[in-house]
Order: sequence, then C-alpha cells, then structure tokens
Amino acid sequence: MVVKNFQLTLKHAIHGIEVTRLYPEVIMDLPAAERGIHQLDVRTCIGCGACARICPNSCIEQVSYKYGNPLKNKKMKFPQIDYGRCMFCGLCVDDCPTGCLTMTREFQIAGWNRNDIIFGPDDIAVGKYSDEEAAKLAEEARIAAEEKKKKKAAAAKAKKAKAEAAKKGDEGSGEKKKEE
Amino acid sequence: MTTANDVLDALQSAFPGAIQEFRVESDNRLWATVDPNKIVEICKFLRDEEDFDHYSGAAGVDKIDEDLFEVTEILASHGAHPVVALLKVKTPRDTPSVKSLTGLFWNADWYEREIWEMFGINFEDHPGLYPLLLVDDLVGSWPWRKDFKGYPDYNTNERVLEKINPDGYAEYKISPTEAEIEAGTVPETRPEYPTFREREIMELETESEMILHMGPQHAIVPGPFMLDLRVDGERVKKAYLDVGYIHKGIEKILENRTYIQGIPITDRMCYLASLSNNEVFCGAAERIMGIEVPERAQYIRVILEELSRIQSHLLGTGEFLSLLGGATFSPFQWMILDREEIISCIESVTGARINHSFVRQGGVRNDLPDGFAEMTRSALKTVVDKTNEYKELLLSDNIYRKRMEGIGILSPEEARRFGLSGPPLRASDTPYDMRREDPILVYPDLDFNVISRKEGDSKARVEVRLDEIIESCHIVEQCLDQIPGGPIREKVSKKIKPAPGEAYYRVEDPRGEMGIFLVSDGSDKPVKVKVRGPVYAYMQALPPLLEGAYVADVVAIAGSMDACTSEVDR
Amino acid sequence: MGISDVVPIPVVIDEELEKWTVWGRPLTNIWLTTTEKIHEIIDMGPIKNILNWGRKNSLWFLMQPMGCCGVEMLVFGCPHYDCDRFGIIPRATPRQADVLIISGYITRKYLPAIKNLWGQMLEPKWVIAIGECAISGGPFYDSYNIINNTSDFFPIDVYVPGCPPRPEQFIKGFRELQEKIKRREDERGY
Ligand code: SF4
Ligand code: SF4
Ligand code: SF4
Repeated sequence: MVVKNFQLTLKHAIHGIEVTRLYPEVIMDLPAAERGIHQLDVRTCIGCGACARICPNSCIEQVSYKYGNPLKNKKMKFPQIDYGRCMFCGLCVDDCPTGCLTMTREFQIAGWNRNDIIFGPDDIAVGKYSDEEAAKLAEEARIAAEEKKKKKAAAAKAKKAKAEAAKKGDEGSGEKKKEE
Repeated sequence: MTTANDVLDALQSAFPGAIQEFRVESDNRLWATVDPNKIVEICKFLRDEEDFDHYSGAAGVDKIDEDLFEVTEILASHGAHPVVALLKVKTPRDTPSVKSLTGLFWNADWYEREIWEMFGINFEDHPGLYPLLLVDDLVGSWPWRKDFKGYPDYNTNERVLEKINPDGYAEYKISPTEAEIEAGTVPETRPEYPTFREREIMELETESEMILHMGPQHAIVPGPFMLDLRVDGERVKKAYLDVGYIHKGIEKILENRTYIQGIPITDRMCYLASLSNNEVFCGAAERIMGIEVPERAQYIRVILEELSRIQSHLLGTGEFLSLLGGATFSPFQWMILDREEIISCIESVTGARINHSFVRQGGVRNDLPDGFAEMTRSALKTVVDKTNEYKELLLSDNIYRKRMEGIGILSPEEARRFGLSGPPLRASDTPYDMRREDPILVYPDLDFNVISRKEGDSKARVEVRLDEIIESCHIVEQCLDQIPGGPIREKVSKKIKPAPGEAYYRVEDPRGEMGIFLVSDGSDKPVKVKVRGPVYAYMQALPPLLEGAYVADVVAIAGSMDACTSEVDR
Repeated sequence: MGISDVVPIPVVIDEELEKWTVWGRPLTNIWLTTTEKIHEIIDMGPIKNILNWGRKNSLWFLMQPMGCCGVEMLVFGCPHYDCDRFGIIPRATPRQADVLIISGYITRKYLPAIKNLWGQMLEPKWVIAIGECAISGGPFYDSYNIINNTSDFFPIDVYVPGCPPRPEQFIKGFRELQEKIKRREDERGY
C-alpha cells in the first residue's frame, strides 16, 4: 500500500524535472500581458488626469514634475502612484488616451517604510529629458504659449474690432433706417 | 417545460389580486411585486405546487426616493424547471417589517439575518434575529441603508480604544467620534440580543459538555471563521458558526463605484473564482443594457472560467488532502504543481495570477496571445494525466478511504433543503448545474457531462471535484477547437449607464451557483448589488452537518466542502 | 559586591579589577552577571550580530491565510518557490512563529483576534504587511468595516505591495526583512 502511494513520488523523482523557480537569481519569463509596475512615457503624457479619475482606489495623484514635455503637458502634472494602494487592475492603462501609461513585467517592490512604496513620476518615468532639453522645451513652450497668447490677443482684438465694426454697421444701418 | 408565464398564470389564478405588479423578462425570469401579507402563502404555493424548492436568497434594496424598502425573495427549482421567481415585498421605511420565510425554507435564516443587520428590516416570526457578519459595535447603524453616514469618510483607526482584559487578551472598543455623533451616524438605540458567546453558553446542558473553539485562526481553517463545537466526550453535540471575520462590505463598495470600477472589486469576492465573479457582475449589467457579447469573447470567457475552475478545484482538493493528513497525503504539492501550469496559461491572457479583472461589459479586456492554444493543450494534457493518477491513488489508499467513506453524509433531500449547489450538491445525487439549468455564453453549444455521485459523503465530494477537473479540460479543448475569429468587445460607451431596471444573473462558479442581483437607476453606479454566493449556503449547512460527528471527523467534513470564507463574508 | 567576597583574595586585587573595563564597562559587571546584564552585553557587542545572523536565516512565519494573498502564501511554500531554501518555514501556531504575515484585510471583527495572535508570538518577532489591504486597506479603503492603516496597530517592518503580490514578492519581502535585521534597523530593535 505504502509503496503504491509512493509510486507517483518515485516516478517523478526519477524523472528529475526541476520545478523550483530560483527566484532571486533567475526571474521566470512573464507573459507580455503581465500587469506589473507602471511605466510612464513622460514625453507623451498630456496630464489629462483620466488615469486618476478612473482609478477605483484613488491611488493616482497628479503631481508636478519637471522632466516632461511642456509642449504637450501644459501644467506639467504627472501621475504619482501609491503602490500601497494600487491593486494592479489595469484600468488606468486602459483609459489613458495617449497610451503613455503602460504596465511592465517588473514586479519587485518592497519598502521598509510606507513612503518607500509611493512612486512619483520620476520612479516610473521613461524617456526623461535631460536638464538642458527640459530647459529648451520649457523655453519653446513659453514661446509657444506667448505666441498663442499673442494670437489669442490678436484674435480677440480682431474679434473686438469686428464686433465694433458690426456694431457701427448696425448703428449705421439703424441710422440709415431711421433716416429712411 | 414550465415557463415564467405558466408560473404567473398559476399564481394569478390561485391568489387573485395578490400580485400587484409583474414582469416576465424571459422564459425563465419572473419578476413580481406581491402583497406583503400573502408572501408566505405564495411561497408555500410555489414550493409545493410549482416545484420552487430552491431558496436562492433574498436581497434588500433601499428605495430612499420612494421611502420604501424592498425585499426580493429569489426562488428557483432544483432541476424541475429553469424558472427563477423574484418576488418583491415592499415595506415602509420608518417601520420596516416583512414576514419571515424561515418556516418554509430552512436556509432563509442567514439571508434574513443579514438583511436585518444591514438594513434594520425586521422579520416577523424569525426564530433568532442575531447579527451575522457585523461586529456588535456596528449593529444598529444599519450600514447598507442609503443614508448611512459612515461612508465613505470612515476612518476606523482614530477611534479604536485598546483595552487589556483580566485574562490578558486585548479587547477593542470602537468609539464614535464627535463629528459622527453630531452627524447622527451613531444610533441612539441599539437592538438588544445575546452575543454569540452568550448564546452558545446558554445552551450548555450537562456538566460533561464543553465548548471547543476552532478559529478564527486555526490550522485547518482556510480563512478566518469561528467554529465552536459543543462536545460531550468525543461527539459533537452541536456546532455554532460565527462568520464575518473578513466582512469587507463589497456590496456597499460596489454601490459607490462605477460599473467599470466595480470589476476589480468583484474579483476579491472569491479569489479562486475571480473570473466567474467578473462574468456574473458584467453579465448582469449586460442583461440590463441588453447587449450581446461577440462570440469570440464568449469563447474566451468560457475558456478562462473553465481553466479557473480547474485551478480552484486543484487547490481546494489539495489543501483539503493536506489538512487531512498533514504532509502524508503529498498530492497537495503535486496539485500545486499542476495548478501553476494552469495559472501560467491564464496569466498569459489576463496578466495576473489571482485577481484577473479581465471581463468587461460587452466583452473581454484583451485577446488571446499567440501560442495560447498549444500551451493550454499541453497543460491540460498534464492535468488530465495527473488527475487520473490522483483518482487512482485515492481509490487505492485504504487509510484515506477509511477516513472519508461514510462521514458527513448528506442525503439528496437534505442537500436541497440546505440550499446547497455545486459539487456538494452534485455529490448527493442531484445533477444540478447552472451551465445546464440556466445556460449562458456558449455553454449550450458545448458537449459536457454534469458529474454527480450517489453517496453524498466526504469522499464523493472530493471525487466530484476531481471528475470535474477532467470534464473542464474537455470543455476547454472543445472551445479551443471551435473558437471563431472576430471582435472581442462590443461597442459600449466609456461611461456605462444601464437603463433603469433589474437583473438576476447566475453562473456556475467553481463552488456552485453564483448569482448577482443588480438594480440600476440609470446612473453610472449601481443602486444595489446583491451577491448570492454558493459558499454562503455551504457554511450555513455546516453546523447541522457536523452534529453527531466525532471531533476527529470535523476536519474531514468541513474541509470537504471546499469553503472559501472570503465569499461568505464579502 | 566584589570578587573578594566570593573568592579568598586580597581586597587590593578586587579594587584593581574594578578599574578594568571591557567594551567600556567595568569588568566586575560582567563577572557577577545576571540575565539582564547578559542581555545588555549581548545588545552592545558583536554577539548580537551572530544571534541576528541566526535569526535572520530561520524566519518561521505564521500560516494564517486571511484574504486572497493567503492563496499566494500557500504557493509560496510549495515547490515552485520553495521558501525552505531561505530558512523560511510555515508554522500553524503562533507559539512557534517569528514572523506574522498580515496577508489581507483586517476587519473590526478580526482585529482583536489577530492582535492576540501577535501577542502570543514569542520574541523576537516581526511583522510583514503583504498586499494592499494589509498596507492601506487597498480596494476596500473606504469600507465601514476595514482597518485602513494597519501600521497603527502593528510595528510593520516590510511593506510588500501587490494585489496579490506574486510569490516572488514574498521572497523579496523576506529578504528585505533579513537585510533589515542584519543592519539592526528593524522596528522593534532586535
Ligand atoms: S498618464 Fe495618460 S491618462 Fe494619465 S495624465 Fe498622462 S496622458 Fe492622461
Ligand atoms: S492599476 Fe488600478 S489601482 Fe493601480 S493605479 Fe491603475 S487604476 Fe489605480
Ligand atoms: S491585497 Fe489584494 S489580493 Fe491581497 S488580500 Fe487585499 S484584495 Fe486580496
């Protein structure tokens, strides 16, 4: 009886199949769909906050961060993820309009303190700009913003002028009408 | 075959005027609002004349706009016909009281206790209206009412007072904060009742009896629950079960999440069946929205649900065997090995090991990856081979058989009376399976057997599970052969807002009948989600099942139910 | 009390000995030692490092599945991840355990029970919070029944995020704890 019960064990023991995944040294192959730690492409994030709104655990907060792309992200707000609360559900990734937030196969996090596991944009960012690039982009953004402002101002002026003209025209016509 | 219309006709002729409103949703769903004074007679009629012998549960809904509470009794049949009757009883909000069905259905007890502690709806003629899930401090604040103010800014930590009692154990009192008292969250009057401990001590009869506590943490307990046995010598005279140690209030949380945000939360109801839970939550919403899932998505769902059934059964059986004989019944380790293969297959699609959050309203999250079919086929082959080996092993092992045969016997009548479903019911000679009774997805196109056993003892329950593993493998293989191409998600708007309405949707999860009763009012959040879980019924049936057993058999009986505490407590 | 009280030696030697020190402490203190003193000495000297080396390589944990993370805890002990490689062994009773793994949601009803489990564990002991629920309440952070900041009740040494964390993460958490013990920076200061 006993021998029979050990048959299975013996059979497998002889085959010598190794099953242990030798974790700290070897990390097993994970599928592409794996939902691990997030990755943020700061160059394309537009800071819309859709990820923060959909998150069921409200663990995403939009914080300021300077190595992003100010041309796209006007307020320079990027998501910060509290891994002490994130449940890796992937809803934020599904909802990101530009696809800049993705989930990687990396999963190893552990912290000695609660604050260690709150990952700011810097910890999850890829494609960070260097200082000079950031400065340059900021400059560009400033110029663009100014131009836009100018344009806006010009547009506003034009509009105003138009409106005034129209008004005048109206008045004129009114007068005309009156005259008639 | 009886249809909903037939039942309605029978009801209307037997109780003229008692049916205030009705709606026949389909051939097997009947919704009716009935006269509160006649509910017991109506249910008795349905049970005795129309074969509604399966009390599936009850749900309370707080209709704060109409100043009403609604209690919906869900009745079904154990195989005679597929009609589910949902009978609504209305009761005013200031003095809520409805008639109890405990006299008709034994298992109405827990459902009614739950509704009482959560909503404060009184049940007339209920034998013992004691809290079930909630801690005694919270009883009286009726947390599931819509005007419960403790949600969502409920920070428990600030108000826990630690006290060391004379025996040296810590006790906690949750004191209300000032703000809370001001807001009126703290009830002025609390219901009075004997606590769990007092109740069981009251029942001690002779000097030789004693109470043996198992849990909340115990080597055999798969999750925290407390099993107190009143023993006389080696015999269990009576068992008392206290659940609610991991009551998370998922149903309340779901009311405060949008339909999309709710999906990851439903995973956590029963973590071994998270795909079925996703399915049942999304399916209910789909019923209300009236959308049909693309065929490919249906196949993907079936494949994953069956794979998840395999892994759940492997873990459940393995864990049970290890409880029985420590490490001697080494199948546990082997079963975990097989389970890992299945998990890898699921993970390659969903990206997670346990909590998948994969099913979406109208489809699934992503498509199957390349090479999934080959990978799964090889994993299934291993699993089938190994499972056959386990079956042979368990059949040939005398020690195991002596320990398991003839204990915890559930006769078919008892099993039905207890409201069981899934493997424990099927082990008692009742081939009752949601995939057959109330077919959803592509199950009607698939060829599979409903496994059942005649004996009804612990051994039969394990055998049913092992056979179901093989059957599920068979289903998955068929699906892999038949799966068509096409889209995987129906076009639904990003903000899901089902029309006002209700739905009751049920699936066969690894442990039995899992149903969700969903009420929508047209906004993006559900009004009420009621989960009818299979393990709830298992747990309720445990005390009567343990009565008269030897203490040594308690593990062999309780473990064979494969109970998952998380789903009981939700 | 000097040595001359115990051994017949001249008082001069006794006085001389009292001037001697070991690791900045009078030799006589060590000589006429009590359990408390032994502990004091162990605490300051390299003996502690040796003890901690032993402790960190035999972290037995309490098998106490509470939530979904409990399932991964089972797998963590099984062949694929084989926690025995690190001297980490599951135990069924708190009396034999060194590490309490909080593996899920702590509810109001369960808090006294788990606090008692923690009280029943023998020193030295550590706590690891596994999963979101154990750290912050996770998906149930706004529930009426959940304790959403466990660190108020337990001196948590390592936080392991994940929902549930993969079994690898359990190993990672334990290795962090070992590191923490080695550096003697753990919460309770062993
Ligand atoms: S990560 Fe995506 S969703 Fe989040 S702020 Fe950036 S662009 Fe918007
Ligand atoms: S994965 Fe889920 S829980 Fe985590 S940040 Fe994204 S939406 Fe929030
Ligand atoms: S952290 Fe996630 S997986 Fe772990 S117990 Fe909580 S909900 Fe479950």
